[in-house]
Amino acid sequence: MMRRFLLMLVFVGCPFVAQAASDAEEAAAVPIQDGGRIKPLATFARFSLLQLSGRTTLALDDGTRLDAMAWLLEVLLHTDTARKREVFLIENPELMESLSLPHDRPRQRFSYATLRTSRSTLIGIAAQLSSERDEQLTPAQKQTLRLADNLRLFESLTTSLVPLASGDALLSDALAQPERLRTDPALRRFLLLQADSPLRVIPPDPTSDAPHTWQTPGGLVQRALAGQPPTAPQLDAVRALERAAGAKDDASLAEAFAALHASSAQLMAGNREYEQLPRELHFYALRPFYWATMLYVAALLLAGIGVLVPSRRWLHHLLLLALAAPWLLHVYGVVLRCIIRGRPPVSTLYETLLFVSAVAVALALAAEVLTRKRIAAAFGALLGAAGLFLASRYEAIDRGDTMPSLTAVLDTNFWLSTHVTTVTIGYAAGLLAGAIAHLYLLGKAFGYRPRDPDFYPYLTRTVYGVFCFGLIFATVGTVLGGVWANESWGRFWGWDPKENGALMIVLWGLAVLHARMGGYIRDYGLHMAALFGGVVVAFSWFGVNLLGVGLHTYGFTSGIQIALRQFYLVESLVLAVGAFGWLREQGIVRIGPGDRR
Amino acid sequence: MSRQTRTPFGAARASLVALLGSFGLASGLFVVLLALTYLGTLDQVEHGLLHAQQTYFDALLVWQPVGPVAVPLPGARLVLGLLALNLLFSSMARMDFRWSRIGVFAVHTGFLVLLAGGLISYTNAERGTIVLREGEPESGYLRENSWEVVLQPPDAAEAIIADVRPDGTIQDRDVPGGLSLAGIEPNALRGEDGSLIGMPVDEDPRKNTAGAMLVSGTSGQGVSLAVLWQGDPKPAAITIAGESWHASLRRKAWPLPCSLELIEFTRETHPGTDTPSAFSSELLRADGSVQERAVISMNAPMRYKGYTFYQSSWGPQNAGPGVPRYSVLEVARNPADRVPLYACALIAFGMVVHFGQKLVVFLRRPNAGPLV
Repeated sequence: MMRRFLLMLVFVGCPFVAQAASDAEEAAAVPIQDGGRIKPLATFARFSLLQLSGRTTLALDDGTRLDAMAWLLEVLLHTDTARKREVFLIENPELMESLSLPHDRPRQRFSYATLRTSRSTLIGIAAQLSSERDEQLTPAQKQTLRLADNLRLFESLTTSLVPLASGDALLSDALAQPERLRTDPALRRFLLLQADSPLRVIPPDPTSDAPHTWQTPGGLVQRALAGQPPTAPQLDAVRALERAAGAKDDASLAEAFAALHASSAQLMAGNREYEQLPRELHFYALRPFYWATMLYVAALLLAGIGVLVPSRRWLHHLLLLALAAPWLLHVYGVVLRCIIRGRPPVSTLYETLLFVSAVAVALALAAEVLTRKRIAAAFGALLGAAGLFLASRYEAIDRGDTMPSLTAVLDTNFWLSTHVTTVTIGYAAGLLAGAIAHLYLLGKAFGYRPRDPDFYPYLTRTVYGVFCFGLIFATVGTVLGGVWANESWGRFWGWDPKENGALMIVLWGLAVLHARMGGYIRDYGLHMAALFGGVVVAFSWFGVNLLGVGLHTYGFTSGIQIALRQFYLVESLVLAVGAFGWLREQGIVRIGPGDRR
Repeated sequence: MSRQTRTPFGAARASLVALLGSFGLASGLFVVLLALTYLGTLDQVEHGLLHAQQTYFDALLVWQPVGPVAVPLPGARLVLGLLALNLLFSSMARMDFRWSRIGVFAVHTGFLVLLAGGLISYTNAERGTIVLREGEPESGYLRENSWEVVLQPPDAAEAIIADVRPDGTIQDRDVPGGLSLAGIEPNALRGEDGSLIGMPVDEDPRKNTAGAMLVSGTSGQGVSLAVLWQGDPKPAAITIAGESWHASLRRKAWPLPCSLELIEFTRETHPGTDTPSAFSSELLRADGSVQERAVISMNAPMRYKGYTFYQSSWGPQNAGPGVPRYSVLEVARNPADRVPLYACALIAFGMVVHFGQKLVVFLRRPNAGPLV
């Protein structure tokens, strides 16, 4: 009952996507092993489509949208239609020209039918490039490799189910009589087509020598040929797939997928990953981060309106509520992900975006409750929206599963939950302090609220408090990182770029703190220092990953380089404006009769 | 109360103490260290970690190229030394102990402990690697830049194994006239004419092949006897006091308190992928007559009699099914191994107490003056 309810939510949660038929609903919940983990077929469909097209739904000519699950079923079962869909995204005109593809935009999607004519050229170029190191490749070459991979993925999907569609249970009968497997030419052809199929939907026999590896129908045949016949539930799964492949209508297709799911359930009872499937369906159906982004933007608008009207208690409460609602949704999404993967909130670069923005909003909420000035809440809404927006952009650029399996060194919940979580809380506080400092610097420079005696001291106290909070976590997190490195690699400190980035945040924090205590910087200096602290955080968080060296090679994403440079540039401009404002306040620079000498 | 007259020397001393313990010096040193960290991080992109470490982090002075000129900067080692001094002097000048300042006291003590731990590690820690193969017990490990020369006397007597000191001299009294090494190359290739061609030193000492000129006498200035290279398949023939000896260069194996034998190396991957999920080495540890099984895996090292063994690497990388794998362990002996953890606890405690006090003050009077 619960499963049905969650399945329904998959589609209810996507109001802008056309309602899918029940066959897609049943198929969505079918478990598949992909990228080293068990996930719903809907998740596999989502990231396959994202990988090919850069989107999780397809825009159709009639103005409606095709969701990922419906697209995957089309690819698996109605390959002729799927081949005509303009799915393959190419973002490089140089590549389009080298493949002689007609184009009128620098970023365009092509159908498989169009790309087919250039297939051999593409695969040839990709084969030559495959031996090159990633950092030596040009953007066009990287796109070439990605496109070749996407083409292979699409082709392997189109041959995953169609060969089973003979309608006479050819494969399941043969698996039941292994001697046929050696002689039947149709089965040999089937094996050839299935060689690269990613459709690992048949769970393993728990007593087999590969108890964690799921099989494709072709993989099952290979094992049968090696003397390991399938179990009864595995045969049931193959029969269900044959029925799905040969289904003439939606109802029989839905029935076939339900049968496939039932056979998987028999084999996977008690498996932790398998039991999280309904939760993952619910997560993607609810789209908590999308809705939280929308609500953060609404809260930001409300805060903007609040600036224009006189201060009222009810307005403060309304703003708190408007910020708390998306934050709760945001946190709910992060918690769901933790439960689904059974690990702490931060284990990938993508997850740092979710977590850091959630912590920044939490800090802003706390500051708002304490100060009731509506400023902290506004910056909380801004950072929440920005963090989640960046997360969605990251997902679109990276195009990979955002809940991936981790490499061996990261597979430790203790250190992920202590060192990584602590350091990223430091990031969040550093960014929030830097964000609020903008208001001080720009406000002073442009004469915002000059006669309000409380406004600027309030900003200073808030920035200082948040900055110190960040310093605690950055310091403890950095030292804990050294302790982890000592446990994993046998040395406390190795001057690895990521370690250095964290150290830079700590050093900057300590420098600012001592400079303030010594009286070398006052309010202006503190805000400029906090803003620069935000730049140091950005360098530590993303900048060092883009250098392409070091032990933390699991978080490289070249697509964010431009955004980061833009951020540095904007912050430099604000710092320059801040410096100008300070000079003006000191009377060193005068631009009008109102400026004091 | 009598007023004391301060001598010029006393005034200068007071100024120096005030400067050494000042907030300004602390703040400036943090900024310089930040700049060095940034420059050293960028340097790794072009020149690798080892170069960055030698140029910025292990140096007393850095010549930083800025356009056509080189600007001198204090190196990280000098800055850290000055920071330690600053901590000591500021403690003497300002930190009269009061319970209300226990947070600040704990934070600074924590940093001092961290720096002291770093110094102990730097001067006393030993580290190296050990390669274990199934069925082949090992009781020594290899350290970076640690070699020995094997000398075979002419009378087929037992070979003399002599340590190479850091200055290149060879410590052995049995060789007539003494020997030393000149022009040691930690990583080199042999040229066609037999000479050594220096190569960039790899961060992984196992990948380096050292070479040097063996010369007579202990000064390093004597007559050239032979060019020794670790990669040579045979020892070099040399003449000492008119007799024919043989010499070869090899990395020195440092003794361990136990012998280790690989039972099995296991590399697990996430199902259906090549992404490694776990590495582990199952070992047989023998110490005298006591034999025990032990497992070392990522994030779970083995500690034994002051030594810590970490899973570092493995090979051969492209081994097919049935081909036995070897396991590479990192070996470390560091008396200050746990110091960072204790320092971290102190710093965390201190920061929470200190800033917690500030927060309480703020909550009591949210509209009061500046928070410092």
